[in-house]
Amino acid sequence: MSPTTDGGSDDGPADTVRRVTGTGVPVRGNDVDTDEIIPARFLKVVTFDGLGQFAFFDERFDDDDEPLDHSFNENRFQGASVLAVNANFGCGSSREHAPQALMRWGIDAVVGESFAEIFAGNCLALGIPTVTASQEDVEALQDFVEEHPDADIEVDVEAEEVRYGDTTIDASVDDAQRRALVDGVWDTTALMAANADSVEATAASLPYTDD
Amino acid sequence: MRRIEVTGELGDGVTAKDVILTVIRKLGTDGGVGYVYEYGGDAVEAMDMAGRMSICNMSIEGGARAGYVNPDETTYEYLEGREKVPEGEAFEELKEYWESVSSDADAEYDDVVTIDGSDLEPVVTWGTTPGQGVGVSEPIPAPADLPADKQDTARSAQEHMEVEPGDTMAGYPIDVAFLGSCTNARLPDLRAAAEVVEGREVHDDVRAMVVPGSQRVKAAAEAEGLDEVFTEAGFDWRSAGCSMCLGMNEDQLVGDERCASSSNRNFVGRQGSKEGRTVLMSPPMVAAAAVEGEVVDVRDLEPVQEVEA
Repeated sequence: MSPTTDGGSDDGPADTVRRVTGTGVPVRGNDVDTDEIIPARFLKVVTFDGLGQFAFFDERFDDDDEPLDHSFNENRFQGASVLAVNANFGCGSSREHAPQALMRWGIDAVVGESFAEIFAGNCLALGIPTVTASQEDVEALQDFVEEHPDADIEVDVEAEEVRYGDTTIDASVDDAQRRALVDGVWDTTALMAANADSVEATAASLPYTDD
Repeated sequence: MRRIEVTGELGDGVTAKDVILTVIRKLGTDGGVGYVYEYGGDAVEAMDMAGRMSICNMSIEGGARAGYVNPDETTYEYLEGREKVPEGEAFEELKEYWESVSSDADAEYDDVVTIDGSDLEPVVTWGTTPGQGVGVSEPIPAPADLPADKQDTARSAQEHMEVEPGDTMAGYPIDVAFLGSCTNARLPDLRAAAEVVEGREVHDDVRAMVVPGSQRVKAAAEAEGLDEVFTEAGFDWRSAGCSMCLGMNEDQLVGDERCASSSNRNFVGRQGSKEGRTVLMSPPMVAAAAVEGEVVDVRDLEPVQEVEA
């Protein structure tokens, strides 16, 4: 099933991300660090293209590259775009490669109990919402996804809800993140390029920048 | 904003690294989410810039967005005369600006955490996150005694590290000693480690390397002869780089090797082998572990015998 990102009017220089809909994939466990999400030896690249195949590599493959039990290896979860995780997901190294690898594997939104802040910021820079919900709700979502790998999960950033089956759970999206996604201003590079005059004015007012 | 006040005076053999490993241990790897950490108090004020940088660098390991120490005379002395730093009047003007953005004495914080610096001993990690630290002579905690959301991680970490609750990390055998990383291989770090190494030899079963934090640090250390102290003891003296801080080049653990490391992260696979084990500690503690072939309290090393010439 192909995921859809439900955009709206183009208020900002990037696409708006109000809702993400697609099938789910669970990755369970607290304190999943970015070295797990993508081991350092895969960072030596000049482009992020192709990083998707290395997502969770050391947990997906043994030393002989034989597949291990991992949701990212399972056929039923291929094509999933909503990742369901537990607490403090994305801790450790601030490597941008972590959300890049997840995005290139196919992830468009992450729902979890909590996120490491830099990881969440790096996701936002790619237009990927990191939405939080209670432990109970997240575990129920993970169970649902396990049982219904073909079912759509709707991550409503704007309404701060996650919907699946007959269930709607209260979710929470950091205010600044929600505004950035809903208004289409999450791409800071595009935002700066669209406001070059104001960037120059600000730079000129700072005491530590040269002309 | 969270103020972390480190009171008192750090004891001999206790360093900035022990302070930050204590902070992360107390507050958790996610305790800093939503915060920037401001470090202060007598112990931080007494610290050199290298120590302050070690602490600030690892704020991220505590989940904080950033970490800083307010500018003071130590900061100005560090900056004055360095390349690209304005001189004379321009420097004085900058100093005024820095003072103006420094926290006021009556600043209000969202949270204040106080740590008694005089009470600390060298800290080492027993697990696979930087928050899983313990005093070198303290028992490794039982997972069941930890907060509920940390228990599963602790169990799998202890299995990976092959450590038992109730044991101490002192005596944990090591195969590799890595003295490096931008966190903890600046000049004062290398000096402190060289002081431990001088007159001693790297243990026969240990592969030990020094990777200075930068090319400049490397040159400065060589000018002081620190490279000779390390190489005479049996350390490899390497070029600056990331090396075993993250295992991106050929400097990696092999199989389930155990490494005493002055770097900042001990996640599974961080040093290049997913079976490898990393024990984080201060530079002098890495030096002591290299010499003894196991984790030891650097303060317990037998004095070096003076040999008559």
